[in-house]
Amino acid sequence: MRFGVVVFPGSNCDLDAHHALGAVLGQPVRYVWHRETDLHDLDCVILPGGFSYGDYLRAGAIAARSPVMDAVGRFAEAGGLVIGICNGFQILLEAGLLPGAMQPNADLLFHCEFVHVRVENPATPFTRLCRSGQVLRLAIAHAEGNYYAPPEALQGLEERGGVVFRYCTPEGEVLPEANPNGSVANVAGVINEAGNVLGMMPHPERCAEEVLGSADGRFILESLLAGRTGR
Amino acid sequence: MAWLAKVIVMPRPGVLDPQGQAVRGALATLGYAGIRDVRVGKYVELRLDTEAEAGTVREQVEDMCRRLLANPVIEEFRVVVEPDPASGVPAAGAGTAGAAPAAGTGGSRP
Repeated sequence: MRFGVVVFPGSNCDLDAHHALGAVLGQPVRYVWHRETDLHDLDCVILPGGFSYGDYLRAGAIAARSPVMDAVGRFAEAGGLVIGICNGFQILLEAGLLPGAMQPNADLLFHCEFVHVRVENPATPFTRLCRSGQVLRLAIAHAEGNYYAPPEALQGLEERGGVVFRYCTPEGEVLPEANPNGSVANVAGVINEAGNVLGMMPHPERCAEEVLGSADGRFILESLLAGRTGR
Repeated sequence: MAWLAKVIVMPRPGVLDPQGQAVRGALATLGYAGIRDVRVGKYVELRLDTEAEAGTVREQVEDMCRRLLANPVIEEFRVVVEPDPASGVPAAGAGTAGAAPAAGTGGSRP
């Protein structure tokens, strides 16, 4: 599977994503500069974490209006796989490719820690290798991960299985105390209606090697390799 | 003609505002009583050069709000347009723009 890691001014998890996909998983991977508009050589686009444009105006707001995002929209429309991690998730929300918006963490603190998420929907290209209810230990590092969707949008999302990950205890219980940022319904990751665009706040690419504290991110990254969507 | 557009972006009513809550707590710590609520937003000033009328300038700036300056899911905006005082043009008063808060509140419910 051919991966492209988009680099915006201020992205800082692009190298981690490239390393996880290329060095750890041995996949063809290249960087995509935010001004590029040709993605035809790729099967999966990664929008990495970081502080694109310094989070100015709103996190991900300016990056979402970069030239490459038009191309990412068309790429997604044609069935290509897109995963937005942390700032990448914020960018997908600002670009309207996923429903909802991000707000500052409820306690206004930057949370840099390991959390647990429960796989709510194992029937996605990003969770194919997971069981329903499987608990993954992943790293988060964000000050604006407080996912919000208006009640009707949230209901629609829940009904179609659009919530893919929820913050949970190590035992897999979805409780408020397991939620690091106050996100509605403990949402940690969502998928679009077509099922090919995923946004998540935790970092699977920073949890692909045991030496970093967890390799649970590989469940997500290797799910992508387990089968391509029709493209 | 030099215009000054003033944009206020605020969290939508009903949306939790953690920043506002933090500021409210800090004000209480400083000893101020009776503060029922605090909401924190953004203020943006745009200086434009155009032959367009005030109404057209307003529409243009409201468009900028919808496309970039405000996130309609969680924010609403107000726009005020007036001749730019810094450009030497007499301040509003007799002008068509006016400085009163406008009917241009954006962000209709999704």
